[in-house]
Amino acid sequence: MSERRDKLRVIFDMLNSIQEKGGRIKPTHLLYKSNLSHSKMQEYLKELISRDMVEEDFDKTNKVYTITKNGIKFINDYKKVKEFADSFGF
Amino acid sequence: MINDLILRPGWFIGTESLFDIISMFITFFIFLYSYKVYKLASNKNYFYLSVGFFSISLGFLFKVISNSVILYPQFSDLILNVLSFLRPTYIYTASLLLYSFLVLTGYLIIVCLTLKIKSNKIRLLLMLLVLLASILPRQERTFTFFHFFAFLLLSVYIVPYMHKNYKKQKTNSSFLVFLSFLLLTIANFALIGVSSYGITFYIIGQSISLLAYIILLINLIALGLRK
Repeated sequence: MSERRDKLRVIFDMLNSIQEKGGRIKPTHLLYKSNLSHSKMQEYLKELISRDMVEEDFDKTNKVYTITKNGIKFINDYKKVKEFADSFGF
Repeated sequence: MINDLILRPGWFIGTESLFDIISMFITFFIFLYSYKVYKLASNKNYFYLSVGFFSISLGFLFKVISNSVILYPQFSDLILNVLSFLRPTYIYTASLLLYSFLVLTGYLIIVCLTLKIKSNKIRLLLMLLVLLASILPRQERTFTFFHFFAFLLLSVYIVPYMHKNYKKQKTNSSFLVFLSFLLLTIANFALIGVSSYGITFYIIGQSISLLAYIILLINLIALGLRK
């Protein structure tokens, strides 16, 4: 597997975890769901925020991450690409 | 007037050209989508798959050109105005040879993917076989050797792989891909039979081949429309 594909898979897993939690997730839950180290998760979150796929919000005093339209679009595109790739099986 | 090198009914050439144009566009769309997958996932296999479908698409373009030379003599006149050293027969024959070579190359690339062949020496050897299959003399105006080689690549390597993949994935799209390659195998089998059983087999073979590519298009559209 290529490094980039792994990266895409991680991004997909993170976004999918947020979506499965109703579009908003606490950092601790995301850390648990994405199965990454804290520093790695922060690195990915920084990228996701810069690519406008995730927004950082505050729910009362707690930090939460919300998926954006771009994030949902990425999930859908990734699923299509994966299904196309799986249909040929290479 | 050029003598047709293919044993087929004259009235079918126009319809066949339409089939070829449709197949050319479908394979071109698959080339584009495979390339998109490659760019997104950085999986080199999908780069090779895109090259394979591009080769098939280009092959159909040359077949359309060869048919156009027969259907529209003014088309070859247009080319001859620019390239005066050519003859219509040359354009026709060269286009048909390029069609055979490019389609077989496309299938061969898919075979290399199914067998996970990485060695350039083996790839070169297989390419030489494809070249040989493309230029071998045509018996009684049929492309028996070309269709036999295509049938061999499809039935021995590609279809079993796609069937195995369908069994593993159990998705509609993997089934459609398997079905499409199975139909291409049947199409080539029918086309082998043209010299023995007559030109009806030519029409059957070409129609099944078109159906196979349409199924690939349906798969692509279904994936594109999925939310």
